[in-house]
Amino acid sequence: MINKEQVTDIVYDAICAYLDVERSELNDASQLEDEWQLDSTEMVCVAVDMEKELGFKLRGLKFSEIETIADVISEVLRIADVLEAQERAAEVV
Amino acid sequence: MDNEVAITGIGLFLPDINDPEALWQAWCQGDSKLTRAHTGIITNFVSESQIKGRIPARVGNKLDNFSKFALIASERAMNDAKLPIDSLDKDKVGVFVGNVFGGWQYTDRELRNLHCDGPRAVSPFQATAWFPAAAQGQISITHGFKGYSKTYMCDRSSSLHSISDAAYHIGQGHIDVAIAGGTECINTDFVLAALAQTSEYTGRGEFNPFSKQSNELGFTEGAVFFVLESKRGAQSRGATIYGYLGGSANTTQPTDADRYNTTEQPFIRNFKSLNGAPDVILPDACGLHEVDKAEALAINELYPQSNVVVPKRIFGHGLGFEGALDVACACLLLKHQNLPQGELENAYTQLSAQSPNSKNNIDQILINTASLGGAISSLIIKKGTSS
Repeated sequence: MINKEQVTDIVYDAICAYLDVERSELNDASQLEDEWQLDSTEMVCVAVDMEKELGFKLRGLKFSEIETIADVISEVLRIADVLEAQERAAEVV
Repeated sequence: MDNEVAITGIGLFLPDINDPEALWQAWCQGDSKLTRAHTGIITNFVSESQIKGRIPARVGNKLDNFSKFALIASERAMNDAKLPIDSLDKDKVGVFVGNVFGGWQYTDRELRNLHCDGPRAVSPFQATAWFPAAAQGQISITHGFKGYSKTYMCDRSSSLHSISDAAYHIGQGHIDVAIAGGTECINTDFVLAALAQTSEYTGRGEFNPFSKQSNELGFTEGAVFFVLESKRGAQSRGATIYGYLGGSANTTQPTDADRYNTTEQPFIRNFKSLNGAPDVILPDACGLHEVDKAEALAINELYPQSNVVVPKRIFGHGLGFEGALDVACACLLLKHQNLPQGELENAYTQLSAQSPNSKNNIDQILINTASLGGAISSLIIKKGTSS
C-alpha cells in the first residue's frame, strides 16, 4: 500500500514537472488555479502523469474539489483507500 | 491613397534562419540546404535545438511545432516593427494565418500513445493542438488580440491569402493592425507520406524550379509573419516601412484532384486584373516542368521585361507560409535594390529567358502562388512613396 509520503512526492514531482518549477516554489497551500493558473485540462495531464508513477488509475478524481496541492494529495489518498478497500473486499469474496 | 497598407515588421523562423538579413545572406550565397528525407522527398527541417528555450515548457506541452513556429515568428515581427503592444486597441488587432497541414507532428505522437498505452495516454491538448486555426488562436491568446482574425487553408496560396485579406480588412477600417503570415510543420511521417502522393515525380530527379531540368518538388518548414498597418498609422508612429501591399488577384482553373494547373490562362487573367508593372517577379515555380512552363509562358506574354527570381531553389516550398516567404524576399529586394548574384546567373536558364530589367531600381514586385486543384493567387508588393 502506498503511503502519504510517497503520494506527496509523486504529486509534487508531477506538478513541478508540468509547471516547470522547483519544488521549493510550491507548498501544500499553493493554489493551483488562482496562483498557478492550472486549468482543468492541464490538471488532467498532471493526473495522467501521476497515474504512471502511482501504478493505479485516478478514476473518480474530484477536480471540482481541488484548490491546493494538499487537496490533490488528499484526493489521491482517498482513491488509494477506496482501491485498497475494494481489493480487500474482493479477497473476502 | 488613404487606405494604403504598409509592412512594418518581418518575423522569420526558418531552418537555420532567424532574421531577414540572414535570409538575404542565405539567398545571396545560394547554397541550398535541401536534402532528400528518408521518404524520398526533398526537404529542409527546423532542428529541435532551434526551438529549445524559445517557448515556455508549459505552453509547449499544449502546442504542435507549427504553432510554436508561428508564435516565435509573429513575436519577432512585432519586435521588428517596434509595435507598442500595450497601447494598442486590442479589439482592432487581427491575426491572419496561412497553413496547410495543421498539427500532425503532435497527432503522430499522440496516436502512437493511443496505440501503445491506450486512450488515457493521449494528451487532452490533442483536441486543440492539431487544428490549423491553433496558431491563430495561440498568437491571439498570448497577446490578447481580439480583432477580426482568420486562418486560410488553400495549399501553397494560403499565406498569400492571409496577407492580402489582412490588408483588405485594414483598408476597410475593420482593424488597425494585422499580424499576418503563415506557418507549416512537415517533419512527421504522416505529412511526408502525404507529400509523397502530391507528385508522381517524387524521388525521380532534380528540384530546380522554373528550369527545364526540374521535375520534382522540394519542401521546407517554419513560419514567416509580418506586421501590417495603415500607412497613416505607420507614419504617425515613425515606423520603418519595408513596402506596401499593392493589388491582389485570385482565380481558379479547375483541375483533376491533386493536380496543378498546366495552362497559362489563369495566370494571365490574374496579371490583367492586377494591371501592374512589376520590375521583379517571384513565380510560384512549383518545380514540375509542365506546371512551371504554363506560368513562364504567361509571364513571357505580359511581362517580358521583368526579372524573374526564384528563392525557392534555395529554400524549397513552404506550403502554408510559401507566399509569406516570397513577400519577405520581396521586402528584401525593395530594401537592397538589387538581385542576389545567383539569381542573375540563373536568369538565362529560365524556361523563357527573361531580359534583365533596364531600370536601375526595383519599385514593384509580383508574387504568384498556385495550389492543387487549380487556384492561382497573385499579389503586388511595392516600394512606398515618401508622402
